[in-house]
Amino acid sequence: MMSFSFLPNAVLVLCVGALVQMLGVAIGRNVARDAVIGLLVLVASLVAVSMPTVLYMAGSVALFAPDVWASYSAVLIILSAIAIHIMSWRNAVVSDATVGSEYYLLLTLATLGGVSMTGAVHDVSFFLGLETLSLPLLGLIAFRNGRIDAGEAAMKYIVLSGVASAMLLFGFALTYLETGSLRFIAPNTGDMPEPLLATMGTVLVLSGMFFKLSAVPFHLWLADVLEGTSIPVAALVAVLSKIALFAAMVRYFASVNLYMSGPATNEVIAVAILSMVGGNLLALVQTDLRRMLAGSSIAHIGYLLVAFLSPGPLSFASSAFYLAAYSVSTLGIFALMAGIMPQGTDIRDWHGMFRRRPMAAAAMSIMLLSLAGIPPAVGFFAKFYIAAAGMAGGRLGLLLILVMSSVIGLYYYLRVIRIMLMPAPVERPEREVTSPWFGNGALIAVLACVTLLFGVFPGTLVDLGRNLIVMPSPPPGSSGQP
Amino acid sequence: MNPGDPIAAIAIASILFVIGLLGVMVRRNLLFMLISVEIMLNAAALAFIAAGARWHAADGQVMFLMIIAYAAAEAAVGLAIVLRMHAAGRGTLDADTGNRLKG
Repeated sequence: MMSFSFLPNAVLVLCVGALVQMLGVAIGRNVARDAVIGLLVLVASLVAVSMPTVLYMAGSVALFAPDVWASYSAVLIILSAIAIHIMSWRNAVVSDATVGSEYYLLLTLATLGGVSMTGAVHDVSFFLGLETLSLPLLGLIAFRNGRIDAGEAAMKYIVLSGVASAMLLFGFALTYLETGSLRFIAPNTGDMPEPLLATMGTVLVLSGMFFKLSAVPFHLWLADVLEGTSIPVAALVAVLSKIALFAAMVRYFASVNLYMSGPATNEVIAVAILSMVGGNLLALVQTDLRRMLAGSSIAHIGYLLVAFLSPGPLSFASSAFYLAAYSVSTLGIFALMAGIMPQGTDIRDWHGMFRRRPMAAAAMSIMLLSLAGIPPAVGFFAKFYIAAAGMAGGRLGLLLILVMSSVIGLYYYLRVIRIMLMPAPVERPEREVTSPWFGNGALIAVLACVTLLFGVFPGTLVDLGRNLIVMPSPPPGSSGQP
Repeated sequence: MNPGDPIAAIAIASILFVIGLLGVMVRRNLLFMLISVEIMLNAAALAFIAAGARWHAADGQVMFLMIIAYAAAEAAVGLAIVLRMHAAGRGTLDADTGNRLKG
């Protein structure tokens, strides 16, 4: 049995790719070359995900499970990384010849962390994946040279992410103390004589995950981080790390019956309600587009938790669909911001955009309508699907709050469209609008088309989602209960 | 006391964890906040050692090594960011003064 074959293909490809990129930086600096290598590595890992994997186990301990859920989330993560890679090119921060190469290296490493988290079925592999995602993210957040606010954002993220990691680890330790197993799965407290420690462990793990997912009441860092860092990195924080964490969370709770009222279920319900309402209220009062997107991202985590709380055949399918819809629309908005007005993050800078850049404004409107959940765009069907899952799961109270908070959401999404339709006020000088480079323009067009196409013909993604029903399950042979 | 009984060690770990958490919330100096996070991580590491002793398995010690590695990496990155902020012109370590971000 070969010792290195216990890694999934994509993880292996990304590891080797990161080494190649490090070698490239060591030989000589050339931003264009390193950008191309980075893109090739990401594309290669995308190919590697689709190849069938047979995982050997080292001893009796399974570290990764190559199931459909892992592949689906890995594909979503790698596609988002490719989109972020494309929108970073010609960004003033990245094309600096002295630091640009490291940017692409850190992007590959963050992708590696996210991909390994999606398949992790052991505490060690989950923890390593999580920190392989978090530590490069810190470097990326602080990347803007000489900018104090980037440093502040990174400092906020490092302290809070450290607290979240410590909570997760303490939770794992308590679970291990009670069950003697390091499997990445919530312990079944029903058949234990003293379930107190295991329950505390589960609640701590859950809190740590919510910290990293920035669900209310653990959300305070997200808006500041998105505001302090550059736009492509903001997209990375808002999309890539959330897909990875949500995928891991679904796997962790695959064993728990979420209908049974228990401390863990109650915490998820409370956090879902708070995130839906709190995220939308936070977004409502913002004047900065990035801070508004932070609020919207928190609210969307709340919607996803509703699907997560409605176990049944529709639960995985609808959360998979929603993750895809959310990623496409959010990435689209960030790509537009990076391409059209890298400095103009204030909502008022977008005055009169329909007159100045009709195509960009139209694409922006499609993305916003999708996030708001209005019919022609994919977001409507995604929300509808979650509502169907919630109905099937009997979560009527949660659905009521989902609908009400979506109505709040309509206001601030449509406000941006209204501002783009209005002419600019005379006393405020118009901020200069740039043309996105060809790749970013193509990216925006593709994302807008995908948003519309999947909104009108959601059948393909729904079929894909149906295959996810049977999983995720840890394989037998993981270190068993003593 | 039975040496295999982990309750005392878990109690110490819990106390350390709470001290670290309070430190993060109360202290306003960035360096002390980073140190408090390290204390929380060490509390988790101690809890893993105690749990490993209970099950007579090496798993707890494996996790301990991982946590120590992570704590070192996090401290290195955190101090690098503090240095960069200082180089960029922020002369204070106080987390409350001179904030550019509205949060």
